[in-house]
Amino acid sequence: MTTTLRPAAITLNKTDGYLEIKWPDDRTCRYPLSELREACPCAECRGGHSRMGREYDPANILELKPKRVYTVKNLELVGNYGLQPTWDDGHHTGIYTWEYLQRLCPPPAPAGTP
Amino acid sequence: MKLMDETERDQSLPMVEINALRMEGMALYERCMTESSTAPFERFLERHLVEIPPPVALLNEISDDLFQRLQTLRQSQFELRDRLLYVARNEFQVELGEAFPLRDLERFGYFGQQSLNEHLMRSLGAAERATLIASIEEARQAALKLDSQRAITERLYEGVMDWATALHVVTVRGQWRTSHEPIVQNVWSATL
Repeated sequence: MTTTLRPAAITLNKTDGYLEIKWPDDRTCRYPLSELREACPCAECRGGHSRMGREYDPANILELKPKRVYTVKNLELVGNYGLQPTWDDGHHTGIYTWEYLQRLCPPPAPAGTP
Repeated sequence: MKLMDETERDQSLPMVEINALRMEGMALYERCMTESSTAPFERFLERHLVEIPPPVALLNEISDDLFQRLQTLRQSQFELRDRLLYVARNEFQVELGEAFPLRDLERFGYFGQQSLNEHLMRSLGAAERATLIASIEEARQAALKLDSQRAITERLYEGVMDWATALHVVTVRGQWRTSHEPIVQNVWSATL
C-alpha cells in the first residue's frame, strides 16, 4: 500500500548537497541534489505529459550526468505523497513521489568505501 | 484429467491479449471518471481475478497505467494551485500560499471561503476582491473535480497493487509446491 511508503525522516543538507530519506523499513537513501534535479519527473523535463513520472527510470541515479551543480532553495511536502523542491534555476514543478524516490534510491556504497 | 498446464498457459499468454485487456481496463477506468464510481473497473477486475492462473502480468501492466494516470492528476492539482498563486501574486499582489498549503494539496478545493474573504478584505478593494474571489472559486471547482478523480484513481491503483502482490505470492507458492517433488527418484535399492 502507498501509505506504508511514507518516509520516517527527511533531511536536506544544502551544505553537502544531498537529500537523505529514512524509510520505515530502516533503509536510508541519500540522493545527491544535482543528480536529483536531473531526474526531475515533471512533464516539462520529461518532454510531455504522456511521458511524465515513470519515463525517466535510471537504473542508478548516480550514473546521471548533471549539466551543472544544482542546489535546492526550498523543499515542501506535497499532500501525503511526495516532495516538491524549488531549485536554484527557478524550476519547481517536479513532484517527487515516495514511489519515485524509492525507485531512485542509490545503491549502498561497497563495503570499505568511506 | 489435467485441464491446463498453468505454467504453459502463463508463459503463452500473448502480449496482444494483455494489451487488449489493458485497453478494456482503461476504457472502463474512463467510465469510472465520468460516473464518479469505481464500480465499472472493479467488476472488470473481479472477472479476471478468478482466472487460473492468476493474471499477474496483466495486473502489473494495469497498475502501471493507473499509476501514470494518478501522477498526471496529482500534477494537474499542483499546477492548478500554482497558477492561482501566480495570478494572485502578480495581478493582485496577494500571497495565497498560506491559505492553500501545498502539504494539504488534496484539500485545496475544500477550504472555507469565509476565512479567505476576511484575508482578502484586508488587502484588496471591492472590485479586485470580487475578481480574485471569482478566480479562486473557479480554481476550487476544478480542484474538487480533480480531487474526486484522484481519490477514485488512488483507490483503484491501491486495489490493483494489493491484488497483484497477493496473487504473485499465491503463484509463487503454487509453483514452489509443484516443484518440490522428491529430489531423489528412481533410486535403485536392494536389501542384501
